[in-house]
Amino acid sequence: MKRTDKELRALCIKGDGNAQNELYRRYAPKLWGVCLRYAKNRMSAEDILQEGFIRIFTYLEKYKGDGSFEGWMRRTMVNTAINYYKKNLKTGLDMEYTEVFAAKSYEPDAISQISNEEVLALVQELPDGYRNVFNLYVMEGYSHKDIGKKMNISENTSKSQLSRARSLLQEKIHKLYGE
Amino acid sequence: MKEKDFDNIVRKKLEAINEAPPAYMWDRVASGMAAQSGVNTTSGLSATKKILLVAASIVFIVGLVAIFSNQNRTSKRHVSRPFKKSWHKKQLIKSHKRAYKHKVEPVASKSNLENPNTSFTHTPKNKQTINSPSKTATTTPIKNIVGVKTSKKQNAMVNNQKDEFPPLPSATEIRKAESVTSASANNQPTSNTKKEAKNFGTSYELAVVPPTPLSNSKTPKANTEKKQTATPYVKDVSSETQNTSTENKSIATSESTTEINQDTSTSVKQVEVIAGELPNDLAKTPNTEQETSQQQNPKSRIFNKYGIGIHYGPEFMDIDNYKLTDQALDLSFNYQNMNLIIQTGLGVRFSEDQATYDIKYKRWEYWKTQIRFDSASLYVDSNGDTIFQPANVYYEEIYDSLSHSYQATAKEHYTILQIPILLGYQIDYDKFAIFIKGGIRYSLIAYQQNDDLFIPDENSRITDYNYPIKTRAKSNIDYELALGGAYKINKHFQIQAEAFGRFYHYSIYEENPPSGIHPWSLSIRAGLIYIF
Repeated sequence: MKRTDKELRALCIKGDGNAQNELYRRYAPKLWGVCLRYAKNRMSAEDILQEGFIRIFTYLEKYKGDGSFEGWMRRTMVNTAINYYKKNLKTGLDMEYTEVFAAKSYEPDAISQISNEEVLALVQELPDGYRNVFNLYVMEGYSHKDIGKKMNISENTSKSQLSRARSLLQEKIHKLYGE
Repeated sequence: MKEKDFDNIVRKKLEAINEAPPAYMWDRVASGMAAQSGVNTTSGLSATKKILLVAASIVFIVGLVAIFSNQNRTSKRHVSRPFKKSWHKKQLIKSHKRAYKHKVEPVASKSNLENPNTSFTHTPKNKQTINSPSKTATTTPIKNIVGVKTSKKQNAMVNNQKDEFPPLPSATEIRKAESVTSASANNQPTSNTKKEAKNFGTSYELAVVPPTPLSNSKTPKANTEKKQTATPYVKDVSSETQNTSTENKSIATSESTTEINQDTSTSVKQVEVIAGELPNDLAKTPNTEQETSQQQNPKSRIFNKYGIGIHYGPEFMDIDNYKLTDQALDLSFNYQNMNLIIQTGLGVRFSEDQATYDIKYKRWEYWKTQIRFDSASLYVDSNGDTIFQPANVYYEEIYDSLSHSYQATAKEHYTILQIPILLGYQIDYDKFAIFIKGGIRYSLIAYQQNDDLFIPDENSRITDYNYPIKTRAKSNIDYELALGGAYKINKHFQIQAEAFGRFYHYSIYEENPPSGIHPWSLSIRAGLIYIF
C-alpha cells in the first residue's frame, strides 16, 4: 500500500530509513531536473542533490504543511543550489569576463528546433551567476528583488544578468541552428 | 521574438526533462545523512547514544570501584563481628558448649552452686576428650541454651540468652548465691594455676584454656576436682575485670549465662551485669584477632589505590597497507584493588590524512591578441588620382577568465577525543610492577581542518572542488590489549611504559556499504602516574 506524503514525513522525522528511501524515490526525479538546471555539470548536480536531500530530511519537521510539500522540497533544493555556488565562489563576486551581446531578436524557429537536453546543456554553459539568475527568474518565478536578496546582489545587477543570460543563450542557439 | 516567449519556450523545454538521478545517488544521500547526523552507517549507533554508552560505562566503572571499596570496609566490619565464621567464633562456641556440658553434670551442679565460676575452668584442651561419648553421655538436655545451638547468628544467641533467663530467684536463693560469691571471692589462685597462666600469651587463652588438660581427669569426679582446683584462679580473673581482656569477659558471660539457665540459684545480680556487658564485649573481642591476623599475614591487607596519570606516545595504524601515524596524549584515572586495575580517562589523538581534491579554478589571464582596427584615412588628390592610405590598426591583447583544473593533495588534520575503559591485572614487586590490561576505547572526531588548497595566484579563484573520496568516520570503537611495566619512584609516583595492540571495530573511513576492512594498530606510550 502506497503511503501518503504525510505518513512518509512522519516516519522520516523518526529516522525511518525505508521511509526516507521511499520519499527519495518519489521526488528525486523531479528534483534532479532542478539540480541539473542549477549545476554546471552532472557532478555538481549530484552534489547539490545529495546536499539538498540531506537538508530536506534534516529540516523535514520544520515543514508545517503550508503550501505543497513538493514546492517546499523544490525551494529547499534551489536554496541548496544557490548556497552551493556561493560556497564554492570564494571571492563572492563573479569576475568573469563576458562579452556583452547586443540584444537581438531571433526567430522562434531556432529554439524550437533544439531538443530539451540541448537547451539544458546551453543553460549549464552559462556562467554561474547568469545561470542562477536565469533559473530563479524564468523557472522559479522570483522577482528581481527576491533574486537580489537571495544572491546578495542588487536588483539592477539581477536584471542585467538576466538580460545577458538571455542574450548568451540566444546567441548560442543562433550559432547552432540559426544559420 | 519577445523575451517572455523565449522564456516560456525555454521553461517548457527544461521542465520537460524527466530524467532519473543515477542509481547510486541514494547511497550517497544515505551516507551523507549518516555523516550529517553523526551516524556511522556501519555502527548502527548515533553519536549521542555512543556518548551515553561511554558515560554509562564510566558510571558503571565508578560504581564498581565504589562497590569494591564498600566490600573492603564491609569485610573489615565482618571481621569485627563475633561468631562470624572464624577461628575465634569456633572457639567461643566450643568453649560455650564445653561449659554447658560440664555444668550439667550432677556433681558440678552442686559445686557450681557453691562456686558458679568453676564452669569457666572446665574448658578442656583436648577436643577429642571433650567430644567423647563418655563425657557427653551424662549431659542433660537443656532447652534454654538456644544460643549454643543457634549460634550461627550471634545476635540471636545473645537475645535468646537474655530473653530466656529464668524467672527471678527467690530471696533465699539470692542470699545463698551471694554467700557463695562472697566465699569464692576469697579464694586465691594456686601456684599451679599461676604457673599455667604464665604459659599463655593472651588473657583470652587464660580464660578458655584450662590450667590442666582434661585428659588427665578420667572421671567426672576428678574433673570436678580439677575445676575446684582451678576455681580460685578463674574467680580471680572474673572478679578483676579491669585486668582481663574482653575475650575473657565474653567467654565468662556466655558460660555464666548458660549456667544460670541450669541452676537458678546463681546470683541474679551477676547475670544482669553480664547480660548488660555481653554485646559490647562480643563486639570488641575479635578486633584483636583481626589485628593479629593482619600482622601475621600482611598479604591479606586490602589495597585501594587511586591514581592519575598522563601518557604520551605514537600509534602506528595499518589500513589495508595504508599507513598512518597518530600522536596521542592521554589523561588517565587509575584504580587498583589488590591485583585488579581499572583505568579510564580522556585522551586526545592527533591524526593526519592525505586527501586528493579535484580543483577547478579560473584565472584572469591572456587569451589572445587581436588586431583592432582603429582608423583609416582616405586622401583624394585634386588631380583625380586617388591615394588610399591604409587603415590604422593596433594589436590588442585579450584577457579572459579561463578555466583550469588540477588535482591537489592536501593534508587533513584531525583532532580526536578518546575515552578508554580498561580492566587489568597487575603484579607488584618492591620497586617494579608489571601489568596486562584490556578493554575498549571510544573515539570521536572533535576537530577537522585541511591545509589551504593551492591557489595559483591572486588572479585565480577556485570555482569548484570535489571532496575527497574517503572521509573519516566521525566515531569509532576499538578493542585494545596492553602489556607494560611500572617503576615506582617513590610512594606516590610511578613511571609507566606500555605497548598497545588495537583492533578497530569499524573502518576509520565512512563506507557504504562497509568494506569490511578493520584497521589495526600498534602503539607505545609512556607516562607518569601519581598515586594518591
